[in-house]
Formats: sequence, structure tokens, C-alpha cells
Amino acid sequence: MNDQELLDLIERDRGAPLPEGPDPRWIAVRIQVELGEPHLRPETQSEVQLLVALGLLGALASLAWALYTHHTILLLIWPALLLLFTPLVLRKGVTSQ
Amino acid sequence: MDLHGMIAQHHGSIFAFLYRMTGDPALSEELQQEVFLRAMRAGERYRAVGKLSTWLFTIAANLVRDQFRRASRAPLPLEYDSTGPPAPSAEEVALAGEEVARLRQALLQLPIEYRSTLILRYYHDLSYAEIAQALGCPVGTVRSRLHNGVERLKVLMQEEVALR
Repeated sequence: MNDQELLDLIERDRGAPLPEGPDPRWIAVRIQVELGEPHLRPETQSEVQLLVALGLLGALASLAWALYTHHTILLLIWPALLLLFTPLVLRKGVTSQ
Repeated sequence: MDLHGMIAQHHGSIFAFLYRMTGDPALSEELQQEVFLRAMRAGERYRAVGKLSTWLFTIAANLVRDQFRRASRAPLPLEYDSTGPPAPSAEEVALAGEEVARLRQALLQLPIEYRSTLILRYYHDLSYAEIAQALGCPVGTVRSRLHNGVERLKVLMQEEVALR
């Protein structure tokens, strides 16, 4: 085997799959645990993202509806719902253990 | 330092480096976590030594070296093993192909300093200066390790073929 053949083989190795490493979200969680920082479990992160997306969508919808009907009380509905549900999700997902 | 950004950007390359250095996925996973943990604990110091990726490779290389020193048994030999590389595992062959799996086994037979130099250069495209920084040695040493490492690797690959 000459140098070029070896380098070609290394190039092939670079393109070949390796065993799968851990989920990067779990690496972050474990490190936050080690550092004693509060964190969200990975499966809860997507729930929080969904909650935020729904909250934004709902806030826009209620704003549009309030402007259309001139009933400004409607602006309070979505903040109230978010206040209700956010602690439920966070209580499930946040831990410093 | 942004933990999530750092992990998202570098977890793949650090795991690959550790796996090629140790040949052990579980140990690589453990060391990878330690790399990021040490980086977070060290905080902002990396700015003084250049690129974040090079600094993470420095931590990873030091951890592997410490691991080898601690383990007197030799899944990770410190000295050149003239008996030739062991047969690659069935899982490795299935994943990467036989010839590539033999190359990985041969790499594991190299002394650690040669192995880390070759891996950083040929698998992670670090410059000579970056390798010197990551491994804490002069650039001239990097050059000679690369040259000698390639020669030793070729011998190991030929021995493997001859044994078959």
C-alpha cells in the first residue's frame, strides 16, 4: 500500500458511517444537570415550542378579532390561557435534579 | 458561552474524534459529555487560544490521554503493537465495510500521539498549527508524527493483509 492508497482509504473512511452518538439534546441536559442548572427535558422542549407557537397565533387572531369587533376584552383571552397552561407544561419539564 | 449552540455545532466532530481514538462508542459518549462539561466550566478562557473547535479537540485529546494513562489494561495501547491489529468487529464491518473497518483497527494500534495527529489532520482537516495547538507540541513535531504515523499505518495495514 502506498501513501495515495492509504489517503484514499482514509477518504472512504471519512464518508463511512460511525456508530451513532448520543442525542445532542440529551448531552445538553446531562451537562445542565452536572452544572446544577434548571433545564427542559428534550421531549418537553417540543411541547414548549408548540405552546409558544399556539400562543403567538392565538394572540394575533384575538388581536385581529378585537380590532374587527372593537371588543378589547378579547385581547385578554389568550394571555389568560397562556398563563394557565404554561406553568403546567413547565412543571412537567423543568427540573434541576 | 452558549451550551446548546456549542453542542449542536460540535457534537458530531467531537464524538467522531473520540470514537476513532478509542474504538469504543460507550467510552466516547462518556468522554464527549466530559469535553463539553469542561468547556462550560472553563467559560470564556477559550477565546485566548483561538478557535472553539480547536480548543474542544484539545480537551478531548487530553481526556483520551488521561484515560489511557489510567487504564493499564490495553484496549488503547500506548506503544506500537507489532502483533498486528485485531480483527474488526462484525458490527464495524457491517457499518463501514471490511477495508475501512481494518483501517480503523490499524489506527487503534498506533501510539496515541501518532493516532491523534493523523486523525486531526486527515479526518478533521486541522492545519499543522492547529494540531500543534491542540496537542501542545511544536509544528515540527506534528510534521514528523504525520510522516511516521503514515508509515506505521501502512505497515500495520500490510501486516493485516499478510495475516489473512
